[in-house]
Amino acid sequence: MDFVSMGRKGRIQKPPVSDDPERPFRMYNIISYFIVLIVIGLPVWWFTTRVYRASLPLDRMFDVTLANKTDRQFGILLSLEYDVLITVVNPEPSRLHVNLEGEELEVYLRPFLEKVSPIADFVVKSQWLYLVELGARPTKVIDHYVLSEEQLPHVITPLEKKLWSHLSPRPCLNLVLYVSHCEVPLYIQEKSENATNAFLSPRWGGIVIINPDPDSCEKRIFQPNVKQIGGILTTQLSKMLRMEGTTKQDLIDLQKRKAEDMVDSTRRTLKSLAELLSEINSIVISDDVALKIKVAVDNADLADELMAKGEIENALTFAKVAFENSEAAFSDASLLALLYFPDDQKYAVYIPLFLPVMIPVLMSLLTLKKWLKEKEKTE
Amino acid sequence: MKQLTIILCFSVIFLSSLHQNRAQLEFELPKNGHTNNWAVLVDTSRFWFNYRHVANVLSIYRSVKRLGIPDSQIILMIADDMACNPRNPRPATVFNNANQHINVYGDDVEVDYRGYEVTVENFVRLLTGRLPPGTPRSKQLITDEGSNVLIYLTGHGGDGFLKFQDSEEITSQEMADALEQMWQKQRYHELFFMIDTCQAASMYERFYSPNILAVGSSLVGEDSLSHHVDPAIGVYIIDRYTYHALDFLESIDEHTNKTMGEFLSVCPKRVCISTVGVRRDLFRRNPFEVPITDFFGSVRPVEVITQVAPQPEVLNKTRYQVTSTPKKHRYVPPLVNFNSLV
Repeated sequence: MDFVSMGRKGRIQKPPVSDDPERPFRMYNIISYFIVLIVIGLPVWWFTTRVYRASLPLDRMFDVTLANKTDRQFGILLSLEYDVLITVVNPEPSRLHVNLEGEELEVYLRPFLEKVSPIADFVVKSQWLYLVELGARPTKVIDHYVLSEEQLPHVITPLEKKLWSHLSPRPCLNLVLYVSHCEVPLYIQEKSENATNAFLSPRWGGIVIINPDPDSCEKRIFQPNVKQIGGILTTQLSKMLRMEGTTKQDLIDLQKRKAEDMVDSTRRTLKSLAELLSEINSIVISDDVALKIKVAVDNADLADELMAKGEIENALTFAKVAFENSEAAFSDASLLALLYFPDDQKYAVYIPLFLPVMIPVLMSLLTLKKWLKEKEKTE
Repeated sequence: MKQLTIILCFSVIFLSSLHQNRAQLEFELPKNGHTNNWAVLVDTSRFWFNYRHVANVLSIYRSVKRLGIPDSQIILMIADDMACNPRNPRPATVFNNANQHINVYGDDVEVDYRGYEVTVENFVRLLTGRLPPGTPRSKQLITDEGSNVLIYLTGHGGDGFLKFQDSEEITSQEMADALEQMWQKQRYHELFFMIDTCQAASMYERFYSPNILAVGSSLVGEDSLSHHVDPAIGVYIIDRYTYHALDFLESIDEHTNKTMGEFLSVCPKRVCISTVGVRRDLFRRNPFEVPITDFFGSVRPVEVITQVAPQPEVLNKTRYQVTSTPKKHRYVPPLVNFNSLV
């Protein structure tokens, strides 16, 4: 150290560069920091904080032809199991006792339900509602009362609240039997011999109005014609399933239609999942979900092949598997696992941690560059 | 370098326009009507001084129920309990008017998500249908492609976000993404989005899914104001936009002919002070031709059955035995017959 030069100029002179024996080690120090932080650290951080997506057959999910849905009529919800809920409504139980067992009605429904059982499982339940009136006011025509077609939707709405059809996890097909008051014979649109006195709402269910005869009213016990009611209920069910009749050909058509619907729904679900994955960055696909998607895609293709060959029943089995798996995959709760960690928040968390460390390392690269240049000059 | 940036700019513009075209091609004009109605009514604020938000949402709940949507199809989320709040001088009631003539809490209110269950996560999971398995059915939104959904949100909001519970917020982008997921899974036929907060219009600005009609009580940069104070209770009890919307809804019943267009113009600037914002570019129909019961009521399509298919005789009766189980319940006449006590 030259104290004279320090006193004259007022600052400490740096020792000449070539004299410092530790300079190379300092340079190696800088290089090692650089390697650990940027060459190793940055990729490790990137891979550990990326949204996990297991590999998916995306091209098979995207590249599908879907059926045109705009002119299709709404039928019942597509599902693998349904509840059939028979409700008997008796508005004045103290004046009239209705002698009807739910099991008797089920006897008349079972043959039909067994015929359509390949498409879904049907669970039949029954319940009784007392002291409930219909929400609409009928108009009096001579000796009976009539409900017009415009009033019918307003019958369903207040009744829906009391049916508790939403208790079970399966979609519910409601079949309501309303036994009208003794002196209020009620008809839909007009009284006629062949009138069924029944109507239905395609997605919800159907209502049948039963008028007790005056003899039963006197005796205070009413035994409805179970066979006739069973027939009406079966017709309502078949209309809800959009069947023309109950012949063998109709059943085959129903199975074919359901298989096609399920395959179409599977493909639509998977395609929309693929589109969502490309639109929204924070959706996670775990291995579990990826497996279900693969099963759904394979089974849908298999069902298609079998339908082309004409084996409808087998195709339906595979279509059901595909439908179940695609629904489970799309509505799996784990897809939203990174809901609270969108991209901009991820950077907002990590930048204050890493940036202060990176700045000195990057700045010291300049010193490294200078040293390398000098080494080149001296060599 | 300059040419490179120009090429880059053009390609970005071109690609973004492509994406929009693809989305537009998939807009389907709904040919069939809807088949059922659902409502999701959310109040996001807690604490006693936000009484008016709870009164807002309960008033809309009352109107929607009165016009016909059953409880099983209404999801009501209330973040704090005002009726049983120790500071409530009228316990077990919530009023939306200083006259206190309607108790909107009533005795048949079914709250599905209460208190701390009202979170952004639960709200987004509810809309997208990704609730954990085992969630009760009353807490799920089980809509399908024929459902018209009404979403009503109220609380404190800002430019691009809505505050939940004073501790978290949902951004307008998350809201738009949730609705897009609903659209992709065909969980709605048409959607009516109503929001009564400050700077409400910012919440619907980012929507990009079709068939959504949105209305907000104020534009970006404006505050939504509350209507009046009830001196007996001591807090503001209703907001201006909801007060006037309710005025409109209380005057109609389920047989009404009023249209959504009339509902959208329900609070002019001179009474609401803030400007009501409407977004209708994503909605394909003309709001003046849409009946209000399409979103606020519940009218199902019906078909009369004219003939019954001939039934085969149940020949093999032994196969279908009537196994009657012993009856657990029977009818018991009510204790007091009020009809006879005239």
